[in-house]
Amino acid sequence: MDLQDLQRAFQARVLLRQEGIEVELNRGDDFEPRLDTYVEGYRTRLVEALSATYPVLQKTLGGETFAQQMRDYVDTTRSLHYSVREYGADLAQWLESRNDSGRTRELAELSRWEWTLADVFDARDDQALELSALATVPPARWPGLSFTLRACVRRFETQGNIVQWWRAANGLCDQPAELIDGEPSQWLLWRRGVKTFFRSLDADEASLLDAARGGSTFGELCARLAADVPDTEVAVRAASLLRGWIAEELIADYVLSAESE
Amino acid sequence: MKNLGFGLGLRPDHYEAILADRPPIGFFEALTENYLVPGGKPLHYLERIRAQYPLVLHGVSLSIGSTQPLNREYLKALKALMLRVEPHWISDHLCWTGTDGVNLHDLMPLPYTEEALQHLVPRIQEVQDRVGGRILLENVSSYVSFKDSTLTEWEFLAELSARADCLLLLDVNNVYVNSVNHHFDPEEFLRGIPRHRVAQIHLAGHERQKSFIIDTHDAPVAEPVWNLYRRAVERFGAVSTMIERDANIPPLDELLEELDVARRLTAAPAVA
Repeated sequence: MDLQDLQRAFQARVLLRQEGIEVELNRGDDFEPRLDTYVEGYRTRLVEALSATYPVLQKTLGGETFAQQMRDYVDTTRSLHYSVREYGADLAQWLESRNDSGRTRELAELSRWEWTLADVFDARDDQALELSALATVPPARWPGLSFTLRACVRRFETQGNIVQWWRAANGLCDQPAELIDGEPSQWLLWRRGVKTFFRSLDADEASLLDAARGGSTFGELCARLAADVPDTEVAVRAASLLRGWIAEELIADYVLSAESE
Repeated sequence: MKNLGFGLGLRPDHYEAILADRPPIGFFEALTENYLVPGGKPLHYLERIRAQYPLVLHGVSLSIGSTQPLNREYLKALKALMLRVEPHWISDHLCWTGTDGVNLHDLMPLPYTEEALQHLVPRIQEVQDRVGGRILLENVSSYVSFKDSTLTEWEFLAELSARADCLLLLDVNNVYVNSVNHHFDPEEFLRGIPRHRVAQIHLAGHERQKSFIIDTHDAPVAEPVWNLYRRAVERFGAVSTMIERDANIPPLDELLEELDVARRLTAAPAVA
């Protein structure tokens, strides 16, 4: 075998337990256990990586069930990135596709939540906008303001109590009796410095934040609010939300639209 | 390469203790891939520790021996990290980590053949061109050997480093592990490595199975490895030396005590 075929044969042994590489190797004491060091080591390493990313999923399933399910995942999902940190991005979809438990959707949501937390953890660093930066914008031009959210800001929607479940698993609140479906809730996740934060959002704020992220101007945000808030309160409510987002370090920058220049 | 003294692998468990206590450690070796991230806690701590200590980067995904093309995205990210933290040098392993787009996240062994040498040399040279300097390649532990090998491991390392003009990271634990696994004299290995090529030494723990040893990095350095390290010091002189621990990570003080063993076995250069 040339070097390329040799590597393909060895890789097939590791990934698929396919025979072929053996004829290229010297046989000695404990040949199979030695070869298994590579075959089993591959699975062990990736399951360990998944347990680091999904600790509450592991706790919820129990160590043994988690390990077995993750080994099934490893057998069907290749790692294609140079960093093992990227492995497991589609675990939620994989869990959903299995559909082998009464809690499939809840477990998928829990894994999606933990992946989002990991995503926030090492998202790009950027500066948060200071409130004083907006002081230079004349009031007449505020309707043309739009905002760039910081790279670490993520939104999350859940149908169940997975956030409470996750908090309980980390000793932050009482443990719910079970992981269940419930009322939909909206969540915001972000980072200040190196610390990750999350909080729930009411429907208004969730809608406005999503619109702001999508590029809506301050004027357009006010128009959205006007559907639910008396006209006299729109500007105050919008300004209040914006101040809060800036204080929480959700906003990276602003731009003035061409029309308002 | 400059002798940085006695170092440790940088692990998140120790970030706070390092910054709070500023222990007398010559340098830290950071695992490259842990810091090839957009931002957040890993880079935050790496930059702060780099401001106080010499740093080297040690990768696991260069896959220099793979028959698939070098990963340009990886090299670009590596170069960006180098510009950000200015390591004294970078190292990776003499192995392959996957082919056809797959990453096995393991240090897969290579046959010691002329074909492998011819494959490796231009790839090493390309990496050295891209990063702007000589890289260090580490000898890896292996559990199987290839029938086609025509050179010993040390002959292969000597020939490769000469042809590619790269440096070597001599992992003394891996030399010992392979000497047991493949039945050779580890001191013959050391004698076969050119003195001027060794720029760094690794020490680590291992786990003994029935007839072979697995390189686990989860235990203190074993006595036979310390003995071999003594021989390495005699041959290679004062070379930057560090202890790797990747699992069962003890408190920093415990690793500092272990590092003192290395210090005692050689003349201790000044720390940073």
